[in-house]
Amino acid sequence: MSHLDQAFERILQGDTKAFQEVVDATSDRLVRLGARMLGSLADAEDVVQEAYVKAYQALTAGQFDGRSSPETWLYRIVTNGSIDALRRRARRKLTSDEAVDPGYDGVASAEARLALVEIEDWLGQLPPDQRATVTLKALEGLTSSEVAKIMECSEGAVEQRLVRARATLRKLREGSHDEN
Amino acid sequence: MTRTDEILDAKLQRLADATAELRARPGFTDRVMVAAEAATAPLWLESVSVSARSVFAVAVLMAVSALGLAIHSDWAATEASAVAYGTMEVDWQ
Repeated sequence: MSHLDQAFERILQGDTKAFQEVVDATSDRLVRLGARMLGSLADAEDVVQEAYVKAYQALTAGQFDGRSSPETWLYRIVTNGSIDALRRRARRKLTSDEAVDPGYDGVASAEARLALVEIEDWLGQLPPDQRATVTLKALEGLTSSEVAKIMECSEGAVEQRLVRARATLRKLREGSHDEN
Repeated sequence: MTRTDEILDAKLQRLADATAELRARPGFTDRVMVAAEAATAPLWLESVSVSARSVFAVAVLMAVSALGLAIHSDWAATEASAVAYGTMEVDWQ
């Protein structure tokens, strides 16, 4: 049983202080996932904080059924939260032209800042579910099976989204080359 | 795999490497714990207010019954005092 499994078990038995151990052990990975998904560290922290609150409520209410591992379950909450945030952002962009605030606050290196901007410009052109799939597979380095568990779909659906995403990215690259 | 695919994969790998060191800002865990504990308080209050609502409904029902009973008792007492149990003729001479 992993340290995270043990912490989950303790929370389910009423030891809510064990939740801090869960946050300490997973926040860096989840915030990194959110930042890659949203192209912004500030937005990622908002989404991840919201995800932890949902997880805490579910755990203290005894609603975690253990069908997924704690990591997969937390990844799923953050992925779904990020997809919702991307959809909200797309709706807002229809009415205003605001740019994404990467929210660096001096904690990210210059290279990471530029990479987040590049991710937002590039992957931001994909539909949210395709962007999430590409992020989990190519940036997080997960297997198709792991991505399928997180996104609660079949491996076939994951592969299909990747094929579509690659086709869009290929077209974008060819388009930008035609312009140059 | 085409040349374009190789370029896409290389770009994705470069972006993954460049963002590998990203982490939450200092104080993030504390903010999460405060938010999580604050978010569970309304759940507790909600359960109290749900119980309070049922207690309130029972109390209203009991109050209405008590009022009805009081009105009925008052009416019965008035009737009882008005009933003549026997009459006596007084002869005024």
